[in-house]
Amino acid sequence: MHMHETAVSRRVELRPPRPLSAGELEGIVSRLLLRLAEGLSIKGVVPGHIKAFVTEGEPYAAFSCTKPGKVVTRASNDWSGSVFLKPSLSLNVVVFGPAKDEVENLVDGCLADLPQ
Amino acid sequence: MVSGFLGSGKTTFIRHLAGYLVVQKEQRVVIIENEAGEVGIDDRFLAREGFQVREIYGGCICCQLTGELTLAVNQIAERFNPDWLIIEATGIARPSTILNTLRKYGKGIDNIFTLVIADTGRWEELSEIMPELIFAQIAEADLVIAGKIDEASESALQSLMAKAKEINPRAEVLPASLIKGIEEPVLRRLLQHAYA
Ligand SMILES: Nc1nc2c(ncn2[C@@H]2O[C@H](COP(=O)(O)OP(=O)(O)O)[C@@H](O)[C@H]2O)c(=O)[nH]1
Ligand SMILES: [Mg+2]
Repeated sequence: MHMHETAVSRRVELRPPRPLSAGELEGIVSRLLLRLAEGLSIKGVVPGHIKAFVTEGEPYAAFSCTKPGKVVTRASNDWSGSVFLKPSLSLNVVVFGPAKDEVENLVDGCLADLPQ
Repeated sequence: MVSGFLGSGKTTFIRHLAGYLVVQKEQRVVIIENEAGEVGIDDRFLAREGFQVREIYGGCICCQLTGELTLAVNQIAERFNPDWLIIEATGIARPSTILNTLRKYGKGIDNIFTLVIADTGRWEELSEIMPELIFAQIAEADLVIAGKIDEASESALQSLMAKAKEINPRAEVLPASLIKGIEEPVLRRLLQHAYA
């Protein structure tokens, strides 16, 4: 059997008040992951993996964070020239240590600050 | 089968390996993705990149979902008859239990090769936080890739190599940085092992 891990997943549609450029959207998602990593890290690392996938139509970008302060992005070729009206955001947080409701509260608190 | 802790670089590695096999070697490749959590991310990412991907949801194929794994493997064998089936285990899986299922119930499998990607960049911290899991993953692999050496200290790499030798003396350890692809020597060793 496994050691105790906690997985929290969310899928939300963002509703920004005005269209976002790829750079702006990337900034929003990166900051989300950085906040989560800050709250979940132990001994200077994320004891797990925080991931996001963002898309609207064709363009997409995947985000990953395993250390606080560092988010890695991999985007499709058409990402950087795109504009986003209601992008869908999938978030997957899997970490060892904290209890499920603790991670859920953190995740939902951070998501509540995004335009939905 | 590709195992290794959460975020160690499994999907990154699979993307490069599958790309190489499909493009350079003209092999038929199918990928099974099993992720912890209810929202699949890696499967969507890999599918968008043009790979043939099957996702297994809602639990871990090493314990709750062994039946789903058997079903997926056998359907894939029937429908696609691939040259390669690459399985990404969840970062919390023990490879041995997945191997047992594949050996017992998997159809059309000639050879199973297990590799683990260890996260050299977080090695020292993770081996303090959850030694049992990450040591077990290493102990059960045919080949160990010490990934993320570009962001790891020399001492972390040395300590990983020493630990791997201690708990799994039969496995070769290949240090690698996977961010830009799999370096040629690593790829060559890997294929030698896989075809052995
Ligand atoms: N610096 C560095 N980052 C890597 C390397 N391999 C993977 N990564 C990054 O590590 C993160 C997790 O990788 P991923 O393949 O999603 O891990 P998985 O959870 O094991 O599938 C991603 O941001 C990758 O870009 C590497 O060799 N060096
Ligand atoms: Mg993955």
